[in-house]
Amino acid sequence: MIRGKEQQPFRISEGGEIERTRPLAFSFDGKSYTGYEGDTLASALLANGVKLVGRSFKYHRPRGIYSAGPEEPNALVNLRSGGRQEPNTRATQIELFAGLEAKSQNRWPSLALDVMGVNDLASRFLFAGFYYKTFMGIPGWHFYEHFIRKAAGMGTAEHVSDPDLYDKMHGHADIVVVGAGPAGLAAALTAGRSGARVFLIDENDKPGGRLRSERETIDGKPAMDWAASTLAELEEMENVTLLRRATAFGYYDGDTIAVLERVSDHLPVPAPFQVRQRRWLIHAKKVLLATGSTERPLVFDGNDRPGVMLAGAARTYANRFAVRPGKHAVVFANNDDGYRTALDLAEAGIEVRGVIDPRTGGQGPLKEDVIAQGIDVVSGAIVVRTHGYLGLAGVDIADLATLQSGAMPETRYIPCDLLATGGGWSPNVHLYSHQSGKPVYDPAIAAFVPGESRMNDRSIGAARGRFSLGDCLADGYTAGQESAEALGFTTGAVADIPSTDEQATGPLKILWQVPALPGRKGRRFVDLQDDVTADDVKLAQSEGYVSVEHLKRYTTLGMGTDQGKTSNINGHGVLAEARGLDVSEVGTTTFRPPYTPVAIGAFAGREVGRHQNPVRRTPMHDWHLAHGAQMMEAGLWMRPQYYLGKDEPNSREAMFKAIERETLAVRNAGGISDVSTLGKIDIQGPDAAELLNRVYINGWKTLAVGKARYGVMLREDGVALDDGTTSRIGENHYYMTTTTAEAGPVMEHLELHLQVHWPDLDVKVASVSDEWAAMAIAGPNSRAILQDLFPQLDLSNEGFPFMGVREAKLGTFPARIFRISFSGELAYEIAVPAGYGEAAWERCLAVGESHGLVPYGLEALNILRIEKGHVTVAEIDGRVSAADLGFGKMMSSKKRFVGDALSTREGMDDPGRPTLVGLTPVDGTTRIRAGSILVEDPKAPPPVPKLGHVSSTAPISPNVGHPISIGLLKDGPNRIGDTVWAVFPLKGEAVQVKVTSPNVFDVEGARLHG
Amino acid sequence: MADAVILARRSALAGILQPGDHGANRFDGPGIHLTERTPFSVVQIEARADTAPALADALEAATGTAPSLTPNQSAGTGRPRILGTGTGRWLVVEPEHRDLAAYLRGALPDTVAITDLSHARTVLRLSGRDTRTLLAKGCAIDMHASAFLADTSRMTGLFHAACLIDCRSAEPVFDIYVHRSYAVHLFEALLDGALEYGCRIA
Repeated sequence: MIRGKEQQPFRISEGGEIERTRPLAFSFDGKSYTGYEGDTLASALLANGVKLVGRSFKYHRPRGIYSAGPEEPNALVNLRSGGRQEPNTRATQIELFAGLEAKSQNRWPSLALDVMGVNDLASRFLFAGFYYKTFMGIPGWHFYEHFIRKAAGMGTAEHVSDPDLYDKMHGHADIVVVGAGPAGLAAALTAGRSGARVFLIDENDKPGGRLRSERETIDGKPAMDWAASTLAELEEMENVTLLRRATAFGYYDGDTIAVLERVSDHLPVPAPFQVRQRRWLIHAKKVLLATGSTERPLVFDGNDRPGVMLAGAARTYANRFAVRPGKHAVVFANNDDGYRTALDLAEAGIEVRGVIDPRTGGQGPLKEDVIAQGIDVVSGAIVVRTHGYLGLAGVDIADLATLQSGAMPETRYIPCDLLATGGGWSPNVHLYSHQSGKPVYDPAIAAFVPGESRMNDRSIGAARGRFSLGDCLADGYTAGQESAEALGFTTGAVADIPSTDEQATGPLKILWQVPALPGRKGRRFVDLQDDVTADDVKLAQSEGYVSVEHLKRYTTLGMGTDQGKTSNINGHGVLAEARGLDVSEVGTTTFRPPYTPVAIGAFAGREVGRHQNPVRRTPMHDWHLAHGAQMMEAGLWMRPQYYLGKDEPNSREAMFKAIERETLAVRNAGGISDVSTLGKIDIQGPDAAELLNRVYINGWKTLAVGKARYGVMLREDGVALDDGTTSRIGENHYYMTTTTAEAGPVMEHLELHLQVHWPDLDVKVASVSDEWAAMAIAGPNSRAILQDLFPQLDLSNEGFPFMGVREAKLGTFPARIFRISFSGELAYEIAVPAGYGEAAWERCLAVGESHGLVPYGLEALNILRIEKGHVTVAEIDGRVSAADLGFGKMMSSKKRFVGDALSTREGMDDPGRPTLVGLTPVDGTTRIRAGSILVEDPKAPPPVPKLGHVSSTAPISPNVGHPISIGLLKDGPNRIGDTVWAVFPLKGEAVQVKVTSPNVFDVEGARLHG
Repeated sequence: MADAVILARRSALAGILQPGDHGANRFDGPGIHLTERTPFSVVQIEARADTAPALADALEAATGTAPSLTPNQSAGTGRPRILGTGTGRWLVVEPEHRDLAAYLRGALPDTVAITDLSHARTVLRLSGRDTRTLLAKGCAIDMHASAFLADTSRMTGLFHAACLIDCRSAEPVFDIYVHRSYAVHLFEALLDGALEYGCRIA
């Protein structure tokens, strides 16, 4: 431990929440240090006397640790390395762990010597709006942007993937309490005692909030004793869930609170199987926002020098971490917190060389205590300048009234290495604002407080501007109790609110910007992270950016990782002064989620890689994988694209060989393909035929049992929705198939119409897509194969005609056989219950082997159907009518059907609409890219009139002998025999194509009948 | 060559579900127990709303289990169990020991729509200490014992797959009915989510 002490010259020998028996070694910028368990990286750095931790965003000015909380604008470091590297991490929020490795950012070659510091000298050119004024709109600004981004960036990301697990969780609560400071703990306690389901969410390693940083008492004992006993009681309650290290970062509709729980961030690496971070969505009935408040800086000349720190943070380091953030301190505050700070720093053994109070008079008890300790109090004075470069060396103070009168005041230099500064506290209204709450300005605290609630939320304690401990406790006890009662829980007698012994405090003096000495050009930073000064705000205002939202975008005030937690209100105050208005009149910018940065991984959760979406597998999936299938995505499904032979390497040549092999096999012998992905809907009831009549464009009343029919459906707006066959398998029993892509939408379409529009129809629909495995056997030998599979069936054209449907046993299991064809060949589809799918598939192949049966994938399937001009989702793309696809004559005029009225509206029945045609390259060899635009003349000056587009393309067609495509072409039927051009400007391609009928193979359809 | 070979139903999880202990080795034992219930019969029956009470009576007569007329209520101990999934709509489920669909077609009036979904669903049983927490990872509805009671079921999304979740007991024991094509996805998501609690697959 002695070693630890030597290495931590700024550590106080006793007190604080740190575990002195557990020293932890860590490194910053490659140098080794020691801290203690219970430290943050910031407190450990300060204990080691490290004050310079980063360089600013724009001017690369040296910056130090400024706060002790999530609002930190300066101390952003690059944490860890490799896949776990995390840029822009706030040193104030990182719990120290053994071996922690951090590096400073935004500097090169080193923190102390940063060449980009030259920006600071050129600062008069880097004014507000510099980027817009200098680079935007001039030729080549994309070129400059690259260098500007490099110079101005914040941290750098890693390119290797993160090895850790991020997860998601849902929670449900009667009452969510955000923040476990005194108000939140009290609220959770009374709500929890009622039996209500409570979530208490706190961003720190342990509850207590501000109590951990102050030397206050509750019921005459240290306040943290009360927090500990409250916590102990809460932990005993089964109905209370406490999330530690959890930040409520968003408040969404329906009283949903998004929370980031940092499960393992405080560990070197997560335990095996443990997640690193977990993102919660907690659905609440009531939300109590005990989110506390954030201290505002004072805006004065040189207020960004390392060693200048928020007063509350200085108290935190002294009281909670037993760290002296300096040896010789000056305190500069516009409120009584300055005196509280001086007392705490003095108690911590820091020499306080003065309390600078811009107020005059006002002898509060805290001030008296300070004077009694012999600390110099300078009333009516301000800090006008700081000295030092990489660290604070001293401050100049001067009389405020003299300065405001326009005279040059005398200044007094006080050497110091710590300037604790405070401009009052602003309630954390972020979550309140997320749900469109409009904060209201409260002049008594010079800050915005929550206004009316739009949801079931209530802000309590410091979050609504009640800063005293007594008020926070009273708010918490009352709000917890009232919220529980409003939800019907019984809370019994009102709990005794514990007593506190706070000193009375006087009012603060509003000082949005501290006047600078006449003639000095020093910079007074409003936004430390974005390097926005008071002068930048005034310049923006003078250029017309008078709205707070415009100010933000023009100057970047309030942007960045801290989102203006310390800067917004001061910036708006400076703007208000410049406009001669009150802050209440200029308002504040809208806070949006997230409250603090959230890793993208926490939003992705486990939905990464193959699990980004669910993967659907057919019953034959494993067989495909075991037999050389190269799988491809088809929506959520995985389907065989083509099959490689045993030991055949996967190359482009092998792919084309496989596709050709499969395509020829279907036309010459037989092929089998897995069509289980097609949507299947079971339709039962006496009104089934009527339902079909209403949803399909063609008629269904005459379909006989044992027959199938092809049909096309329209959307309500007359646009084609889907096509497929529906079979009548019983008197009142039909079996509908849809395309793979539209299975869900068609089911929804039927459900919607049956439930909303036609509840009178006696018919029920059920999705059986997953019940049946389906396989298509196509090719001239398919009848012989089927005969071997089903010896009991008469498969002659008379016994089992085209569009016939049979039920029969395949071996021992039931099967449905449909004589339908997508390839134009003699073909059958066999459906068996899914659990028998793989066995049936294997049986088909075993039986078909002697007939030349081979499996074929989607590529071959696609070529075969393009040869026949059959459409799929590439053509039924939500933009075409039935007539565009050549189904105009199918539309029945004897009945009404969904979409009929709007299918005849103007434009939809325009004879010049693009319609389905076949397209063949004139040179007989060039492949036509799907998505190509059809034009008359590719060299015509733009805008080139578009005649249509290529929807589906076959790079090879071994049966036809050249590449073929289908597409939609204006006035298509009349253009057959013409040539047009298929152009693909992205690739600079132009192919001259001949317009043909969509069907270019077996035009008479003789092959269908074998 | 055409001789029929008797083949058993193949589960969607065949070769995927690996019995044994997976993930964290917790001193208090695995937090999740996962088994597949297979082979399993699932038959949907549906009647017009005005004939639902009559169908409920007929179902009771046919199966010995009285279905609840309230949606989302489950009845029966398992042979069969009847889950209410809508007004006038139930799932009759049991471990496969007969052709349940054919039996119901014979036993119920022919005005009822009967759809065999036995092969369309994969049924997973989850039990153990951390079951509700695991489900809360992938499902937005309230899994708390006071909100999701025994003998109730919910049709909902679980890890982006449409599921029917049946709470068999407050213990907790849950049966998850998922579409067969999503079964591997759901199993992988459940196992992945269960690793931190320890998962025993029977």
